[in-house]
Amino acid sequence: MDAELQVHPRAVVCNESIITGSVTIGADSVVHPKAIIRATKGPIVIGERNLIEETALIENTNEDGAPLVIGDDNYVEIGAVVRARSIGSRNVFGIQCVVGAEVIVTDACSIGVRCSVLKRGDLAPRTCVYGEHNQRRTAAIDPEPPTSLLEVLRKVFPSYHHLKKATVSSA
Amino acid sequence: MAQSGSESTRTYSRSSTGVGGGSTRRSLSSMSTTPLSLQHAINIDGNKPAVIIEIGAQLTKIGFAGEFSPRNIIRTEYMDEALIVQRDLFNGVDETKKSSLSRLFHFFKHIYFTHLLTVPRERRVVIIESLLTPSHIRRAITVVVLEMLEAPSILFAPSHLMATFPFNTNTALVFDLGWTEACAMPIAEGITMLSQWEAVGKGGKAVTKRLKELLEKDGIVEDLDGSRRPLSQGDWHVIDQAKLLEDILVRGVFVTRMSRADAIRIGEKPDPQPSEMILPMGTEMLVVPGHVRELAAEVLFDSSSEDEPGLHEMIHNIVARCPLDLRKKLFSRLLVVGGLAHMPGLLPRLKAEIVRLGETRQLKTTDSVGFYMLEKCRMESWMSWLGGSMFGCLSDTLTHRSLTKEDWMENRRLSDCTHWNDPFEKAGLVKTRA
Amino acid sequence: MAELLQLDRILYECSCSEWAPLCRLFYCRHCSILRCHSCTANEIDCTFCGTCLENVAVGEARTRKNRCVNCYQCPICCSTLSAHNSGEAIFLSCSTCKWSTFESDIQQQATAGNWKILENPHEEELSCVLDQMKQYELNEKAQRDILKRRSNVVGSRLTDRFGLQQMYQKRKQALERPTWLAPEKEPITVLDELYDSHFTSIVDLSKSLSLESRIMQPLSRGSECRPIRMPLKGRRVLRCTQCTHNLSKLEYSPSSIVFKIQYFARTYVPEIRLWQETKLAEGGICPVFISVVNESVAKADVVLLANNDDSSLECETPVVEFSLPPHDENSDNLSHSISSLTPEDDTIILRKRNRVGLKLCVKVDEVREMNILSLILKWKNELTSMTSDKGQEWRETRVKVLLGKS
Repeated sequence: MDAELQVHPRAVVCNESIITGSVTIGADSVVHPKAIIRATKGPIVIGERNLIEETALIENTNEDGAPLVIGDDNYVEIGAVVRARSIGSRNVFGIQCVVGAEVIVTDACSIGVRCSVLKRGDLAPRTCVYGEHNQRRTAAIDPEPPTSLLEVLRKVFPSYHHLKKATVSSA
Repeated sequence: MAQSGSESTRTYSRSSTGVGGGSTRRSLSSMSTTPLSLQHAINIDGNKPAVIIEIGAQLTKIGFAGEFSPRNIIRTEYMDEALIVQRDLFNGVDETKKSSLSRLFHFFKHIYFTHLLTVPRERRVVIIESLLTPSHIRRAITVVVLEMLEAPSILFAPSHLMATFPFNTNTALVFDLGWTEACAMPIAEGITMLSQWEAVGKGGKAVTKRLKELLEKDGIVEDLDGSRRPLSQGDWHVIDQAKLLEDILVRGVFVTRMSRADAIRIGEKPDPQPSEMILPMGTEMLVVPGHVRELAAEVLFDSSSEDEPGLHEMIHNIVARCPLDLRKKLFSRLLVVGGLAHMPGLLPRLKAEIVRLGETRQLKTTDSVGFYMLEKCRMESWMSWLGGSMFGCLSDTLTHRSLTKEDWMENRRLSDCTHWNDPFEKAGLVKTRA
Repeated sequence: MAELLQLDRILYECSCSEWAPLCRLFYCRHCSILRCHSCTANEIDCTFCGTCLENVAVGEARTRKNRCVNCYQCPICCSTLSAHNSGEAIFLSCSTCKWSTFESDIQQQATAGNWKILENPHEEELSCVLDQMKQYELNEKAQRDILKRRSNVVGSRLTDRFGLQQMYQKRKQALERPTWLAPEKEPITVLDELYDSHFTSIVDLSKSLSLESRIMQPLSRGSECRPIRMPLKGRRVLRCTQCTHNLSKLEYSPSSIVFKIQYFARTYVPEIRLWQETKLAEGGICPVFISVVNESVAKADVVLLANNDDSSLECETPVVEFSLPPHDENSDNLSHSISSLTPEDDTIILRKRNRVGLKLCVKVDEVREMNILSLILKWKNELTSMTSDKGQEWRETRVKVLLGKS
């Protein structure tokens, strides 16, 4: 039980999730069991209504120790490996995708299943990476946030999993 | 008794093939002149329009007669049971060895049962082919379609002539820019002038090869940290797997203006420079410099050698061989078809080059160079198919000119397009067709 | 170990002289021979949509151009589009590449189905031209008929008692050149040159379509996209070409995988499998271990003969004869111990219910790239023919076993 873990009272973070380092999890977010969040080189701040599924890995590898700020309404699917510099809101990280270090993910991006975004720098809003060969296009609308899934999980998880205790956060 | 008599005449009139000469009763549709604008898919042996297939080197267009766009355009390859993509369908085909035809057979089965969803036995087949197709390939296709698939009949239609049908024209110089080669043939008063054909190996394949050469020299890769490095040997594996060369050709390559091309040839860099094209290559980005986009298609207009003239020279060569009164007509009625015809800037450049070459040769015939185009929709890659589909609606012509399965099994003779009036038939050595 | 199970290592000869593994062969009981995919005729049994599994009748499929009305494909990446609500209206979007109908010209509509497809803008012109072509054809035909007809004199002389006057008039009309002509298309002489903006603007990969997208929508002009109707699939029925009986037929429902008729070769022909990987050493006699299995519900008598061709390895074991009991689904796998561990003779090593393990001795002169062992398989099984008395005849086929290198 890491003292540096700050969980909002309305967030649902399973006990079996593997969280190391200074991590803050915002309201209405859900973290599945076996999800891995490692604040290796700096703290991680996760916003509201994010969904982080099992075996997903979020790691702060920022060389300068800057915090990895993750916005709201993001959906990190199973097996995703996210080591970005910072992440905006309403993004979808597909199953087993890889986001490399020093990538700045803005808003409403969609990284497809098994795609990689390794190039340093900004990923423009609404970029969609898809297909076998990492093809890119810019979408016209935002991807759908996992609102209904979040609702169901927030109701169901407390009945089946032990949850990490909420800390009264100052924010 | 009277009833059986009328029944027999009814069945007699419905049959349209092989009833020998001298039948006095014809089906009524052949004599009526009712407006036919509504019945494009006209009766052929029971209301089934023919199957029209054009097999190109890269893409195959398939569909039914009477429709104005192909049902499917697929690549000329198929995936077999072992999930291996089979591409060289015509490699080593021999009509006597059934095993060599198996890839072609499976491809046709794939066409019928995956895309057209129809049984080959029910419909006549029209194959649009280039007039330069080797005989052994035509015979292999005939064996596969008539013997192995058991279609009722097959007809080989020449692609250049078919391309003129949608324009309702009798005279045109049809120029087919495909993958393997560019082949042009003049058609005058409806007759294909076979002796004036000319083909040069400058098609999609040549442009892709030039594109590859230019990229090997000047291609740039944007690394993960944004720095740029030249393209190296190891990157080609990724490029081939992701078919990036084809993507660049379809989306990025264009045919530049003649003035710019002349300037580039003497070493200048005309303003403005074309923008670069950036596309994902594995985890990095491939940067195609602007000048590569501009120069890749120049191979089409290279007039460096006698054997490989530029496209404009080819057209001049053909027209120079034609009779005098046709020359101006042919120049004003150029018809460019084929996949490569979609490249932006091709037609204006072709016109400019033809006019300039005409001026240097002091010809008056190149004063008005015109192209046949259906402007509202780019149909060049399947123009021959479209003509074939319109041709396939003519039920009577199909009946008259097709090679039926019975004929083939008996004689195993596949006549060329030039042999409609078969000397063997006239001499009575071979049974006449219906 | 997985190499033993590779399909293409044991090939049976079909009646049309093609070689195929047993799992891809069928057995026609009426003709009592093996059939493969090359010598069976395919037919379309039912057409259905792969996504919504809706059964579409063949005639209806034809009018709909073999496309489903409810399901749509993304024009960029070919995956299925899903419908979503946005307020009152419905739009379609792709879950893979996030294309949505907001990027096409029809952004939303009230119903989930029946999105408009691209139309051919030149349809009217082409119809006119087609009509004219048909006129010419009639003309040609009438002219050809003249040659065949003997007397054209039957004309105005006769009274119209038999309706011949009408026929004559019609024939005469057909012979005349059609007076109405479809307008001839004018070639275009004024062409816009390539503008600078065409090549200086950034190549937007989202706007220009790839080749795959273009060939999926032949009527698009390189940048237009509409949702593409999902192509229908067809269920195939296999039929023996000689006796036209069905060999393989599924149940009518598209979602069913139960066979109504299944004449797979495995249930009528004893199956030969590789038991252990053979190590071929040059210049010696190597043992080859194979097993023969009887998957049918009747007893099978099997004879394996060596077939020493020029290209195959020489098999020293000439004949092996044995009989296999039927395949019994109800017998317990574990309860029965292996019937006989002691080899019966040199060749038959193992016997277990419907399976027999054999050791064949093969003389290897030189190890080549492809080492083939040819055998002739003869079997007698009462199920191999429809009539029970004929079932007692011996059936024969050749088998090719591909042994690897040492």
